[in-house]
Amino acid sequence: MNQEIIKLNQVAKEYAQTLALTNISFSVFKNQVHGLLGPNGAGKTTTMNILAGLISPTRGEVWVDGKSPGQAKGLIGYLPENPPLYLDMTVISFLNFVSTIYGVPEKLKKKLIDKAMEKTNIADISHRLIGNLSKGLKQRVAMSMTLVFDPPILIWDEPMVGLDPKSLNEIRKLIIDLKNDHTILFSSHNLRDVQVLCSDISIIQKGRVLVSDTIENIEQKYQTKKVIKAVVSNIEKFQVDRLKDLNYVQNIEVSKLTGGHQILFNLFDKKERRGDISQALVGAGVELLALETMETDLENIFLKMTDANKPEQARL
Amino acid sequence: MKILWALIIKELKSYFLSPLAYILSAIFIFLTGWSFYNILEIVNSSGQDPIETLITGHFSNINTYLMFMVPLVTMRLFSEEKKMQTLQVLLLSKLDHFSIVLGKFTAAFLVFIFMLGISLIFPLILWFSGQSLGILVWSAYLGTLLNVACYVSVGIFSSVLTKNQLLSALISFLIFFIFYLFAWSAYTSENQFVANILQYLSIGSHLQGALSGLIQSYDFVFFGSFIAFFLFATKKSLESRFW
Repeated sequence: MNQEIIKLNQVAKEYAQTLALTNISFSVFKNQVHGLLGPNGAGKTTTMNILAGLISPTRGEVWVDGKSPGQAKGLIGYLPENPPLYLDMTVISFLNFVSTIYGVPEKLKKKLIDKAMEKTNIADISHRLIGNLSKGLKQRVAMSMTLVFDPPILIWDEPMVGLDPKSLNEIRKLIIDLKNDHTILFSSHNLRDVQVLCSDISIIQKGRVLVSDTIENIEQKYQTKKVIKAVVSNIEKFQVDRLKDLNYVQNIEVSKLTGGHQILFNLFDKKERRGDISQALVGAGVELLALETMETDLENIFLKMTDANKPEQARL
Repeated sequence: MKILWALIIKELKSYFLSPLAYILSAIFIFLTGWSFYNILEIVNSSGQDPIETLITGHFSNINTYLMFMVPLVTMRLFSEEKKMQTLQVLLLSKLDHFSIVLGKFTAAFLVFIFMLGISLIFPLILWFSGQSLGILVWSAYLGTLLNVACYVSVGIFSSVLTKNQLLSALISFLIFFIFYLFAWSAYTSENQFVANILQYLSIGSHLQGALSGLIQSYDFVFFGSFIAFFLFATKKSLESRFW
């Protein structure tokens, strides 16, 4: 069984009669990458600030590796949404300063700083002033800051916001690389990143957890229909009509592609129907070029659950 | 201790790698030099005890200039950290709240020790010209250092209250003004008991003793309590995020 390294139990946070968190309960397991999803103002940053020990909860229990967040100082590398960097310092002097005040022993300091810079790919800019760096480089310096004292847990708040595609790709690779040695909790608006990088997710809205589980379980639980995509060379209207008559097909969407057509079969259920559809297409005289089950759409699940116009969804 | 020292060094580098410390030092030395010369001229043309009048007047001026300069140095201490959200780096480190306050206080105080170090040139001029300065100069320097430490403690407290540096400086000036108001109110109060309390609470009355070479033990108690109070209030303000 996986070891719970972070646990929040019925955590609430109140600011001057405003309830920022109503009821947050979820666990993060050792050496897992856990994604925290939610619309703006859902309470992701407040949750992360509580875990980091920057603020205390009004109610509820928080455990980080069996300790309260205040006692777990040094176990967490926390990267807030806005990178906390001293712009008048060079990268290397900043990392040296951080490693000293986080209590890294002198003999390990150089090794850990070099390792952090190597992982975040900033070794070649170590003597540049932080204030002169681009947003992407500043983000990497901030990530490096969370690694220089080698904490077992990394909590990163929106680490990929505002980065160019190249930097994004590098940070995705970094997270994949880091998950062997660290437990990672990160928040993101990019569901594709979450789907690729995380094993578990928690979706929060209006200060409460709507669901917290593995992505696989969530998809199985909330996916109600299956969509199969076919790419064909050409298709006529009578052939579309014939395919629409299939009793397991709810509707068909046809769109033109360069050198062919794409057909989306929205099915009534979640059963595997690729074989049936392949036979139906061939039977209708359509030349089939490709056929695949559409990846489960986490975005649809997320939107459905967090849709403010459907408050009953919050009970899912 | 090593961690605290790292914070002090970082703060000092931040002062001395920016033009602010040098500009303020240049203004300070210009103003003190100019007022020193003027007092010297006045003393020469009057029949007063030249050294005592010169030292008292010179250090009164120094303390007035510092009252305006301290908030310009301290206003960034926490305000900037809050604005840039870098305070989190310190709060999540091994430094406890009091160490963070103490580190920043010490760094800002060292900047003014540097400035006062430059001002030693004026007593040295007198000494080289054959004047006997005695204990008076050292008492005045001690009083000025204690007074500056009070100003810095107020400045650091004002800085922790807001993200806005200008507002932080204004709060410092307001607090200085309130403490000087105590002295003025003491002179006008008809109740002797109230007048004594107001007199004791005024920074100026304790400084005046030091500038006259008459620094007393209760002056040390006042300066120490004053500094401790504002540093403690700063620490409490830092902790208020948990409230």
